[in-house]
Amino acid sequence: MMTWIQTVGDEQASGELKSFYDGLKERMGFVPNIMKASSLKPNILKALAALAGEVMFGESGLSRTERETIALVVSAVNKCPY
Amino acid sequence: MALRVEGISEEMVNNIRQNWREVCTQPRAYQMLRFAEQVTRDATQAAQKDIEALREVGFSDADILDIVHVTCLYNYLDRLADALGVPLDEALAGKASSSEADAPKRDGQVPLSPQEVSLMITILIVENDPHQRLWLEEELTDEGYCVLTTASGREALTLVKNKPPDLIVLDINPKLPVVIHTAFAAYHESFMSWAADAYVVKSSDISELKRAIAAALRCGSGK
Repeated sequence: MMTWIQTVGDEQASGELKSFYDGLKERMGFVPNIMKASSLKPNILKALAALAGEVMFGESGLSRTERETIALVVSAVNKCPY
Repeated sequence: MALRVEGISEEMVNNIRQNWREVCTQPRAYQMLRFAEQVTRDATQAAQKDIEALREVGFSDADILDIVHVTCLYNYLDRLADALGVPLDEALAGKASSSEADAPKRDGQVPLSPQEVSLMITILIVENDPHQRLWLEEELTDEGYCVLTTASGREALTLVKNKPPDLIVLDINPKLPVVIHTAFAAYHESFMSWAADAYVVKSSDISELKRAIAAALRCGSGK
């Protein structure tokens, strides 16, 4: 099963996008499909990843577990299958 | 978004997804998730009183902003995934979290991880020293507990009345006489009574309590 629009796979990535993918692989072990979905727009992808990183891992009065639990509840309410 | 959270078992993830209200019952987690759900269902219905409810359980305005950011981020990512038909990641599908795989099982139950337990536990710290208070708050928050703090005994009483915590960490003031007056005679020799000047078991005859109060006040005035 593929995302409905064209995406740049791990092997096709080059330049900045490859560096970005490599960073994700180093941190997570793989490149999530939700990130690949925006790969045709690398600048948006990088901005989104920076935002997500700061919101989920940045300094906060909320613990990591609390932030992940909010995400779980939001996705449950949205019935998001991803 | 499918999630694998370190320290949270697959079972707990499923329980939260199915009915978080039954799982996350401690006041801080409950108000936080109730707000996130409301913003997700219809942000226009979120009201000022919901912000007040978050403040009442100890969230600062910066924390509330973080809750909104996490909520909006995942609404954005969920819409993105739905709109583009983003498939599940093979690296995550069907893979149990390491904590679940490694955790010992008792009576067929997957034990709760410390993070899961702490989602349900609120600790109230009553400490007038601001450095001690901040240090304890940071350390216990890092342990995953939901931590409320106050420097004032009066505010602590209000917090306990509004939303009873699961545990209180508090200092004692040796200059202030304390008489324990309780129906539980068994705790007379317990460490819980060591900080008190007197321990009186409740009775219809309060003469012993009166004597204990007078003695404690005499000793207190001499301290």
